[in-house]
Amino acid sequence: MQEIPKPLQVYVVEDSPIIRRLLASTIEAAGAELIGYSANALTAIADLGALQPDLILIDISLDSGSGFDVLRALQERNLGPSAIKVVLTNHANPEYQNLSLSLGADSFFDKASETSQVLALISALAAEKRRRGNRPRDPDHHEGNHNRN
Amino acid sequence: MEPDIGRELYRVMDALVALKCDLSCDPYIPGETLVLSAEKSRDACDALDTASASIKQLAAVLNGGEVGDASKH
Repeated sequence: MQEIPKPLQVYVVEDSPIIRRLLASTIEAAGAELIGYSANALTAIADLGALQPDLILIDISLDSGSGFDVLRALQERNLGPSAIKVVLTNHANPEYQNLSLSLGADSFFDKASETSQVLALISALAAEKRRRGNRPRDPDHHEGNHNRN
Repeated sequence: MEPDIGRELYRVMDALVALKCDLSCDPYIPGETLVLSAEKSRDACDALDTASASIKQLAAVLNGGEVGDASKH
């Protein structure tokens, strides 16, 4: 019997309810699945230890802790090693970008000017996951705009 | 308690970003076509509400008065 491919599973680390809702509606419209979200670093780290999302969207400024804490924990504990980690932040400066990338982020986006690119990336990754079925992620071969320079 | 000005400003920015995304649509859709769903319209209204409330808080702080203090206008 042929296995039904799972949709792209997404976890959101974001303290703004408005941005969470925007991301959630995009995830749903793309045919992906929002498997959880958190507005603080500790809950996110605990959730990500248990869940295995394909894509993690991470804000830097959180209710408590920061997106850096989340990235650092993912890196140090080797949580979600195959997940694509995307940072979306209002603090889009080179220092934060370099730190995010050094902590394992795959992409870094400016919330003020590049949120629509993140929404497009979610849709592209969801479509790619459907096309590729449940095959493991090839980190160097997925669509979307990746700012890792 | 006074609001954190930086946090309120980021709340305004988040609301405006969400509003922009909610209101954006494919450039190839004809101008007279109505494309915004009721859900997106509600989200856009919520974003405007959030931004307005934050700006009101900020204005009050920057004026050195309480929210709704007409004498400061």
